[in-house]
Amino acid sequence: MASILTPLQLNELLGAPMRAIVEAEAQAARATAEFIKEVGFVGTGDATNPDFGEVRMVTFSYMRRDANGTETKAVLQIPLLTLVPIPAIQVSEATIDFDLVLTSATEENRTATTGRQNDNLLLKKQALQLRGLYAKSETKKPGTNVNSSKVNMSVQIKLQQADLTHGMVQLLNLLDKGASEK
Amino acid sequence: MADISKVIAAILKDVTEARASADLVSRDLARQYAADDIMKYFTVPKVQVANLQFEIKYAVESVQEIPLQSADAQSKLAQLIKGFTGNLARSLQSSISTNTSGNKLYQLMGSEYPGKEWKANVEELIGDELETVAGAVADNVNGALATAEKNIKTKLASLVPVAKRVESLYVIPNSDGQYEIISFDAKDKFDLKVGDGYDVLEEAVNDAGLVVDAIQKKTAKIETIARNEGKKTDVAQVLIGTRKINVVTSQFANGVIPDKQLFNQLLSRKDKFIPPSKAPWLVGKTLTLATRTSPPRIPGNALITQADDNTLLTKSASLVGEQFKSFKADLEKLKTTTSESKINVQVETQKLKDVDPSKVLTLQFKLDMNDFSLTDENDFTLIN
Repeated sequence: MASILTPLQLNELLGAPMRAIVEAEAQAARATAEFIKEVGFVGTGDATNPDFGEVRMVTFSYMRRDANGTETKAVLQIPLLTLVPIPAIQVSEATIDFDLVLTSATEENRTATTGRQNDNLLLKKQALQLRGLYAKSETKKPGTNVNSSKVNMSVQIKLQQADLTHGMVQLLNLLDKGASEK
Repeated sequence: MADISKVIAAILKDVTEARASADLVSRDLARQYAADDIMKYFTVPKVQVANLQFEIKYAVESVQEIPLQSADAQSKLAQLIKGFTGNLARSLQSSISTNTSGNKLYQLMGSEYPGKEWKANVEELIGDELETVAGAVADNVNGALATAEKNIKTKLASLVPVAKRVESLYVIPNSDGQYEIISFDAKDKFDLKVGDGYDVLEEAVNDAGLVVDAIQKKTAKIETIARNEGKKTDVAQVLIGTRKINVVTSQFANGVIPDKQLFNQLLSRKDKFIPPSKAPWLVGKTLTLATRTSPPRIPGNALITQADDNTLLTKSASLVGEQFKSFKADLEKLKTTTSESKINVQVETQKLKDVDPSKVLTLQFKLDMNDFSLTDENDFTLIN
């Protein structure tokens, strides 16, 4: 693991919080799934034994009066999951706000191996690689996000839940189909 | 220090790669979700950048004008050079044609001179010389231009006819690529021709000097005289030393049969330069040949002087100079339209600390959702 004092590439500095949000939401989803398995089913299925058994039902009886005024005992079974709130959370919007110290801006030689001719022309240019460190945010001056000479880059990223793309839906369908055919 | 365009490009590239890394996590999660009996019904976490704001401090260290090496810029330069090459060759052809037309010194060149072949070859010569300009790097274009101009002027000296005068005998070029020694009478009409055509200019000048020297020293001896009725000319064979040189004239064609005395009288008038009889105010130009500051002497007779008519060469060289000046200006214009400014900036925090704070600038830019969307999701193609 890199030290916090080891300068990282800018894409790593920007990507880390984005990935963290996605992974955090996945962890929350796993917790929800665990809850459903434990509360909603009587079996103890896991990765090796995916059979969760019967749906955990809540059974109760009560006296029901018919049209003639005669009372009879009625028994009702309801899935427990329909009675309890399922803890499901989803990040609808996230704001990542941080400052960076740029430690180096060095040119790297890039050789294009694929792409059309025009792409190659663009890629033949030497690309710049920016490296930096997360910096401590300080009191910001009005009208500017960059707040002191200790940092020289300020970044604010607003993320929101994305709709599944056409491709992603197809991927999920394929995976689902593959699973059901086992 | 880095080019500001590369700084911005690097930021955009890194933002895209950051977003891609989050998508890769979503992809891996999608596989895990699909394998789980419950989670496969969940929505896979996937984020999109709704809004991204960047602000970066930088200081400008230098600004450079870099010529574009694009195919378009090269094409424009090639077109400019091609156009200039054609124009210069045409202008030279036109100028020489104008200056030879009606000029007694170049009457033997014919009215069609310079012809298509001359123009085509001169155009090729100019094009060859300008190849170095097309290939020169930005800082050396002026040097390459100066060299090309100098080389073209130098080479033109052998591509433009030059007439010479030895006292009253003129060595002039003809349309067969030779030189002839001729003379004019007081009315500027051709009156005699000495010898036959000469392939080499120096030989013609030497023979002209030899004849003038013999006339001055009265050692030229006329041996025979013959009339050519067809051409209406008289030919005298003159012995000069051991050389026998023919002198042809049409002065006696009108019924006069010349004898040696008449021929001697004709020749004797050629011992010194006779200025043209036409008054300059009648013809609108000075007919006197341009004379060198220190006229070259004919070897063996210091009294005989010669003069060169460099009219065509001078005018051609002047034309080349003018057109190169104009071409240089056109190149400058092209340079401004096909170059880009490279702004070198300092963005490293540590080094910015040493910069005067008043010179630290701020660059801000924003990206929104549209900057990260697929241009057309329907482009997605499923393989198998």
